[in-house]
Amino acid sequence: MRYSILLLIFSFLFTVGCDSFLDDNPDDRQEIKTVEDVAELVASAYHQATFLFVEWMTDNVGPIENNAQKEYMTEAYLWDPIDSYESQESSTFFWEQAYYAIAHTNEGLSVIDKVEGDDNLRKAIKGEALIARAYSHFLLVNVFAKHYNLKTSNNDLGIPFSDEVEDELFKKYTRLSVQEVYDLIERDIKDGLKLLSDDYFAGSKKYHFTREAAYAFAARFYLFKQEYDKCKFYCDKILGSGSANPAYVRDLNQIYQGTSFSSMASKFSSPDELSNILLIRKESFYARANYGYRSDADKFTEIFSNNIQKEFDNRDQRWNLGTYAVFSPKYDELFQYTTSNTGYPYFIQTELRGEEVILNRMECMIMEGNYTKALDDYHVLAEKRYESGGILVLDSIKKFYSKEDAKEAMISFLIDERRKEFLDEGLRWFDIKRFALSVQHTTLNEESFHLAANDNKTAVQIPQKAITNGITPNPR
Amino acid sequence: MPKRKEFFANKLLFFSLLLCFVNQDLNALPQEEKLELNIQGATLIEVLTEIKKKTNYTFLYNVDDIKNVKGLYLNGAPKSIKEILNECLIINKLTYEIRGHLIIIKPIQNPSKSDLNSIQNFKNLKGNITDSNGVGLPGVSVLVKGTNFGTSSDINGNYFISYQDTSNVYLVFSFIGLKTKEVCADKKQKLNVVLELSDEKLQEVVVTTGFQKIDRRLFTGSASKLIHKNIELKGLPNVSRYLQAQVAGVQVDNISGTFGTAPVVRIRGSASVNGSNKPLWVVDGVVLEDIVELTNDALTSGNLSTVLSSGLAGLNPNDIESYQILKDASATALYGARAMNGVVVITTKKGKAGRPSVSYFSSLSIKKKPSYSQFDILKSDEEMRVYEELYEKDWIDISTAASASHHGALSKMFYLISNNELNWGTDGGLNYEYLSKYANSNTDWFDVLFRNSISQQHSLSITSGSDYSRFYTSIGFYNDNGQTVSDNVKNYTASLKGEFDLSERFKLGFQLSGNIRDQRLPGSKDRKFEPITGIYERNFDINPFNYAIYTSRSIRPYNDDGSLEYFRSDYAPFNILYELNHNYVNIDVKDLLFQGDLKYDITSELKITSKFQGRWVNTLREQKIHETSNQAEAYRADNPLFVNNNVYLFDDPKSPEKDPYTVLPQGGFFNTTKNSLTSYFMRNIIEWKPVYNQHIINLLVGQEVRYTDRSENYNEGWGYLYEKGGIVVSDPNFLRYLESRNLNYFYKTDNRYRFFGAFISGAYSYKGKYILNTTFRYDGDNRQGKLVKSRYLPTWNVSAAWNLHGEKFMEKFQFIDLLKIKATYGLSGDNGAGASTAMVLRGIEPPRPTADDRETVLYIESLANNDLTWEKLYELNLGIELGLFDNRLFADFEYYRRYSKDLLGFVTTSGVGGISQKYGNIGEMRINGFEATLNSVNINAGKFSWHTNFTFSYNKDKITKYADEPRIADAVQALGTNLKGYSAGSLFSIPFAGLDGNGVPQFYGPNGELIQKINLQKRLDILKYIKYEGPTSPRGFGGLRNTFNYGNLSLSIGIHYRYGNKIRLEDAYSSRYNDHSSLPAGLRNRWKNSGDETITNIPAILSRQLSDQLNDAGLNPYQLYNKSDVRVADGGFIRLKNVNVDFRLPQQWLRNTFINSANVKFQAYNLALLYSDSKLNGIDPEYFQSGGISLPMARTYTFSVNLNF
Repeated sequence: MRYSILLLIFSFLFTVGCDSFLDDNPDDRQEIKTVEDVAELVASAYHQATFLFVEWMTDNVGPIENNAQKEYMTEAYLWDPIDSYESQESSTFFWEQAYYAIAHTNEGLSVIDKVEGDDNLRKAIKGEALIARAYSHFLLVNVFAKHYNLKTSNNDLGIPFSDEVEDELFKKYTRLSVQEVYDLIERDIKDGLKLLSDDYFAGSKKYHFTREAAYAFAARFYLFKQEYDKCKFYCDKILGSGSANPAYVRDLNQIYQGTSFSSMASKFSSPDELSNILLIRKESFYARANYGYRSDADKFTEIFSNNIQKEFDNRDQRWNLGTYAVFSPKYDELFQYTTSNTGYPYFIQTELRGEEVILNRMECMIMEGNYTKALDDYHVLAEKRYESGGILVLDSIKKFYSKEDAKEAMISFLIDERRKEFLDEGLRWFDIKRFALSVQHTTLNEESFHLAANDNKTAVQIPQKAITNGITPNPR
Repeated sequence: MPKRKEFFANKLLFFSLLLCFVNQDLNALPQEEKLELNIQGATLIEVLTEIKKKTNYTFLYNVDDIKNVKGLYLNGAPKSIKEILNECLIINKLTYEIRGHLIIIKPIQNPSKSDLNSIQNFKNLKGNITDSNGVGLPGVSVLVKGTNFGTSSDINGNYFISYQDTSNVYLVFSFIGLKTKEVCADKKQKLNVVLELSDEKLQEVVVTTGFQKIDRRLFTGSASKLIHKNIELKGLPNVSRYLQAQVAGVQVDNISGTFGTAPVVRIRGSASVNGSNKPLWVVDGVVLEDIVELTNDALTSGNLSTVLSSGLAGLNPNDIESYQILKDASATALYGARAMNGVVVITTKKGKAGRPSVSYFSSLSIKKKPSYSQFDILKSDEEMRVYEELYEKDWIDISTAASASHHGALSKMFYLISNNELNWGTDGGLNYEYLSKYANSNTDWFDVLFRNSISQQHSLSITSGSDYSRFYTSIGFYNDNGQTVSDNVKNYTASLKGEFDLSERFKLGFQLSGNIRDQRLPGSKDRKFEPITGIYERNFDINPFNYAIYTSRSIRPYNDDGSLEYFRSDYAPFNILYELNHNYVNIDVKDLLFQGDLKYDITSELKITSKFQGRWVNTLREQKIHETSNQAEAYRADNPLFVNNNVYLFDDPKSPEKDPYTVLPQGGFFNTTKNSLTSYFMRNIIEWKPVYNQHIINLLVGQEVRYTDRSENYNEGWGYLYEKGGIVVSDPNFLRYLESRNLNYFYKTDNRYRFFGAFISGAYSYKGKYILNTTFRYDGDNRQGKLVKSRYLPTWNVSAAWNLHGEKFMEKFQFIDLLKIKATYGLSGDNGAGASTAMVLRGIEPPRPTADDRETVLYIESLANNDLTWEKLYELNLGIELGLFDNRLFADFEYYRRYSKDLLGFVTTSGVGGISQKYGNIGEMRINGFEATLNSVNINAGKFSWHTNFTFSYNKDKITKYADEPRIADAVQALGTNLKGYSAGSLFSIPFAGLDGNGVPQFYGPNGELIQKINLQKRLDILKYIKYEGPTSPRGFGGLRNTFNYGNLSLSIGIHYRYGNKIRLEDAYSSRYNDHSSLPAGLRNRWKNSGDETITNIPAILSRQLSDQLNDAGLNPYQLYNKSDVRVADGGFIRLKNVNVDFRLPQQWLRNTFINSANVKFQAYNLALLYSDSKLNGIDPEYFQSGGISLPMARTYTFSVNLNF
C-alpha cells in the first residue's frame, strides 16, 4: 500500500505541468495578438533596398576617372551578373530585401483574420499588405525579367511569386512566367484597392500605401502592361479628370534654393512635399556620387542643354563630390550606426511621385493619339521646370525631333522628358526596356560595349545565391 | 515453472549449501500459515524457492543431499509449511528441523555425525561488506574456508551466514575484480569487511554519474575518474584547466588566462558543427548553469561577459573530491538530450564522522611576465627605417599627420613642425635629431604594462560528525594582484554541508555555498561585427597584452623628464598607463546556492531520492571612464583639421551647415551592466536494486525539472564627473545624437529556460561477469519552440560489458588481472539553442528624419521553421580494459564511431521566403575516434617508485551533408569553414605564387595562371581557387605524466601535446603601414629592389600611387597574401605543462606538535613550449588573440602548504 501511494505521488509529479511549463517564451520576442500588431508588421513591408544599380546600366552614365569604380559597379555597367558583391546597390541585396518585405505581408495576411481587433482596421491593413506585396513583386519582375510583352510574356521567365508564409527550412520555388506574375500582381492590386483606407496611418502618411499611393502604383502597373485606359483611370483619381492638379509637381525653383546640397535634397524628399506620394527609407550608398558610373558634365549637357525649350532647366543642378561626376540633389544621405563608428548610410527615396503620374497620363494620351491633352499635362509640369513656363505646340516638337509622324515625335519627346525628370532614379532603365532602346557603354580604357534593344541582358541575372539554391537563371 | 534446472546445476557445484536470506527484522509468520502451491514436476530446490518467496523462512541444506529430488507435484490446496515439507521430504528420505526462521533439511538415513553436530553447533554471523570508500558491495561470495558452506551479500553489502562453530573458522570473501580476503570468524556476532580492488590502478570502485553511483563492475560506459589531489594545479583557480592532458578524449584549450574565463573544453572533439560543443558540468548531481550563456563565437571574443560565463570560478578547488568524465552515449545516457557533448561530474568533499578534523591549505604563486623574446617584432630603430620609407612613398607627411586619428613618432614630429614647435631637419627633411630619441627608445611594453604578479590562495576546511550527522565547512580566499598594471581579483568562497540520518531509512542532506568576487579589469567595449567589411571591431581596446604586441616600440610611455608622454589616438591624447588608470571595469559577482538531498529507503531494495537546488547569482560590471581618459576626450576632439573625420562627434542633421560638434562637453562615462541568474532544479528518482543470489538488478525511474531565468540590464551614463564627486552634466543634444545613430543608452533583455525530463534505466548483471544496461529518456525544452515534435526528444541507449577475467578459461593467463570488453550504442542530443520553430518578431523604430513619421514597427528576425529538431548523436563505442602483471600495467582502449545528425547551422537559401540566411538543421557528420590510456608502475622497489600515465586521443571527422555553400572569404578565414567532404572548420588557402617584379604578391589561378585578384564573395566552384590546408581543431592530443616517489618525496612531470591542426596567422602584411603599430619582424626581409622577388616572400611597401593603381584595377593581392598558404602555421605543439615536487613531512617531525600531517609542494606551470611551428614566432598556439580582456596563460610558479590538524 505504501508503495502504491508513493507511486501515485510520483506519477503525479511526472505528468503535472509538463507541457504548459514549457510554454514560456525563451526571450522577449513579440507575438501577434491584435490587428494593431499586424499593422506594425505590415509597416515593415516596404523594401529597404534600392534598385539603383539599374541606373548604371542606362545611357545616363559613363565611367568617371576619379571615381572609385568597384567591381560590382563595372559588372552592372557591362550588364554582367553582379556577383562580386551582395550588399547595398547589388542585385542580391535588392532581391533579398524585396522578398523580405513580401514575407511581412504574407505573415500579416496569414494571421489577420485570426486576431482580435477593429474590423475596419483589419480591412485597411489587409489592403495595405496586398498592395505592398504587389508592389515588391512588380519591381522584382521588372528588374529580373524581360519587359512585359503581350506576345512573349507567356513564355518569358518571370520571378517566383511568394504569397504564402515560409515555415519550413528548405522550400522549393520556381519562376512563373512574366504573364503569370503580372496576373497575380493585378489580382493583389484589385483586392487591395477594395480594402485600403487612409484613416489609420499617422503623421504625414507618406511612408505607407495610402489610396493615392496605390493609385500611383496601379497607374504605373497598367502603363507597363500597356492598358492605357486603366492607367488613365488611376491617374485621374490623383490628378483629377480635367487638367492636372499642379500641386503634384514640385516647385524646383523653391526646392533648389540655398547653398547646401543636403538641405535641397532633404526638401526634395520631404514628406511635406505634396508631390511626394510614397516615401521609403533605403539603405544605400548611392548618394555618394564619387562611387561608380555616373553622369558627368557632358552627360548633363547631352540631357539638359540641348532642350527644345532653349532655356534653363531647373533640374540641371551640377553638384559634384570632388570628382568629375555630376549630380542633382535628390538624395540626402543620413547615417544609421550599428556600432559606434560604423553602420549603414540611408536616405529617404521618393518612391512614387506626382510628376510620374502626370508623365504616365501624358503617355496614355499619346498612345491614344490625344496629343493636345498630352501637352496639357506636360504644361503643368513644364511650368515648374522652365523659367518661362515652357509652352509647346505639337509642330515644334515634330520639328525638333525631325519626325513627320506626330506619335513618333511625341514619344521621343516623352522619353526625353522622362529621362530628365527621373535622372538618378532608375526609371530610365525601365524606359529603355519598355521602348526597346539600345545602349552604348564605353569603359575608361575606351572599350565599347553594346546592349541591343530587347537584349536578353535587359533581364538582370538572378543572384548567385538564388541560382545555387534552385532558381533558374536567366538565359544569356 | 520455467526451466531453471541447468541454471541451478551449475551453481550447485559451487555451493553445496545455499543459504537464502531475507530481511531479518520482519517477524516470522505464524507456523500454521497455509500456502497454496500448485507445482507440476518440479525439483525440491524449486519448491523450496517457492516457499521462500511466499514466507519468511530460510532453508539450510547440503545441495548434494537434495539435488536429485525431482518430480514433485503439489495440487494447490492450502497446506501448512509442515504439511508441504512432510509431503516432499519423507518419501525422499529427508527430514527437517525448524529453528526460528531457519529450516534445516537433512537426510533421514545415515545421518552423519558431523552434520548433526554442525546443526547443533551452528553460530550466526552477520556483517557488511564495503569497498575502501565505504560503499556497500553487492553479490560478494562469502564461503566458510574448507567447506562448501556459503552465502552472498545483498545489494547494500549485508550478509548473513550460519556456520559450524569450531575453532579457527575462516571466512573467504571474494568477487571478481576485488582482492579475495580471508578473515577469522572467531566467534564474533558481527563481522564487517572491507574489500579492496584487485586493480588498484583503476581506483574506481564506483562511477558517479550524477544520477546514481554505479558499481564500477556493473558499468558499461566509457568514463574516467580523476582524483582531485592527483591532478590539481595549485595556484590556478579554475578547476577546468586541471583536466588538460589528463584524460584521453578530453581536450582543454586555454584560450585566455584572465580570472573567470573558462577554457574551451571538448570531450571527444566536436559532435556538432556550430553548436556549443561545451560539455555539461555537473556539481554534486546538478548541472551547473552558466551565469551568462555564451555562444561559441562569444567564448573566444574577449568580451567582458566571458569572465562571467563560467560558474566554475565560484568553486573552491580544495572542496573538490573527484572528477568523473563521462564520454560515451552509455555513460551520459541519463542526461539524454543534453548529453551530446559529454559530461564532467564533479563530486565535492563530504563530512566524515569523528572528532573535528581541520585542514588548511595555502599557496603563493608567481606569474612571470611575457617578454619580447617570445615575439617577432621589429625593434624601434628598424621601425624608424620603415617610417622613412613610408615618408618617401607618400604615406605619412605633414598634411596627413595633422589630420590623422593616430600618431606615432613620425606623425608627432610632423604635427609639432606644423604647430611651429619643432623645426624641420637639415635641408627641410626629417628632423633626425628629434626622431633619434624614439629610434633608440626600444620600449619594452611588457616591462611597462606587466609585472611578475603574486597570487595567493587560502582555504580552511573542517569536517566533523557523529554516527547520525556529519558536517563539512570550508572557506576559501583567492587574491591575485594582477599580471598587468590594470587587473586584480579577490575571490571568496564558502560552503557548509550537513548530512543527517533521521532514521536508518531516512536521510537528509543540506548544502549552502556562496561565492563573492571582486575583480578589476582594463576598460573594454564588446567587439561588434562590422557587416560591411566582415570583420570584428573593438573600439578603444586597451588590453595590455594586445597593446604590448601591437604598439610601435618607438612610442614611449615617458618623456625624458620622467613624466608621461602622450601620443594621439582616436584624435585625442593617449598614454596607455594613464588610460589604464582612468578607464577600467569593476566586476562584482555574488553567487548563492542552496541544495537539499533526501533519501528514503522504503526497503533495502527500494529507494527514493530527491534533490532540489536553488541558485541566485547577481553580477555587476561597472565601467568607469574618467573625464580625462582618452575615450572621453575622443568624444570632444573637434580640431578643425579633423572635425569632419571624428565619428564620435555629432553631425547634427538639423544643422547641416554646422561642423560636427561634441555632445559630451564635460565628464566621462559610467556604464553598468547587471546580469542575474535565478535557477531552480528538482529531481526525483525511484531506484529498485534487488539481488537474487548473484543476479544483480538495478532499475531506476525518475523525473527532473529545471527553471532558469536570466536577465541583462545595461545602462550608459554620459557626462559623469568623477573629479567633482560624481555630478552629472548632460548635454541637451546627447539624446538626439544617440537617436541619430539608432543607439540606446539602456536596454534590458530577459531569457527564460524551462526544461523537463523523465527517464528510466535498467541494469542487469550476473555474477558481475555479464552486464547489460539500457536507458530511455524523454526531454522537453521551451527554447525549442512550441511544436511537440520539435520541443521533445526521446533518447535511448543499450550497452553491455563482459568481465572476461572472471571466466574459467582465463585462469591459465595468470598475468591478466583484468580484462573487460564493453560495447555501447545509443542516441543522445543537444538542444538547438538559437533556433526557433516559431517565427521570431522584434520591435524597432526605423530611423526617419521627420519626427512626425516616427513609428514603432515589427520586423521578422527569423521565419518559422517547422522542421526544427534537436541535434542528435548516434554513437557506437567499443572498449577494452586490461590490467596486467599484478596490475603493474593498466590499459584502456576505446574506439568510437559517431554519427551526428540534424546539426544546426546557417544556410543560405534562395531568399524568396523572405530570409536568405536561415538557421536550422542542415548538416550531418561522421566521426571516428580512438583513445588510449596507459598507466604503469615502472619501478616499485621499496621506498622508490615510478609511475607513468599516458593518454592519447585521435579523432577524424568528416561532414557528410551540409546544406550551405561557403564563400571563398569564409573558407580562408581563421576559423575555417564547413564543407561537405571535409572536417568541420577546415582551413583553406589561396595558393601563393611568389612576388612579381614590383614586390606585389601573385597567386595561382584555377588553371595555374598567375593572378592578383580573386573575388572573395564567390560561391560557385570555390575549390578551383583555394587549396585545402587542414582542420582548425587538432586531430590528436594527449599527455604524459611521470611520477617518481622516494619516501616522502614525490616528483611529477607533465607534458601536453597536440597535433594535426592548422592555424591561420594574423593579417600582418599590407601595401602600407603606419607609425603607431608594431611591425612584423618579417619586414626586415621585405622586397626592396627589383630582383628581390627571387629571394623573399615578404611583399613590398608600395608607393601611394602604385597602391591606388592596384585599387583602381580592382586587384586585391595584399588581402589575398594574408589568406595565402604562406600565412598558415602548423598548430601542433608539445608543452612542458607542469613540474611538481611534493614533500610530505615525516611523521616523527610532527610528533610533538598538534599537526597530524603536513605537505609542502612546489609547482611550476606552463614552463615551456618544447615544440611549436617556427612560423608562429613564439605566439602560444593555444591562445586565441581576441583583445578585450583576454590574456595568455602565464608561466606560473607556486609554492603551497597543506596542514591537517
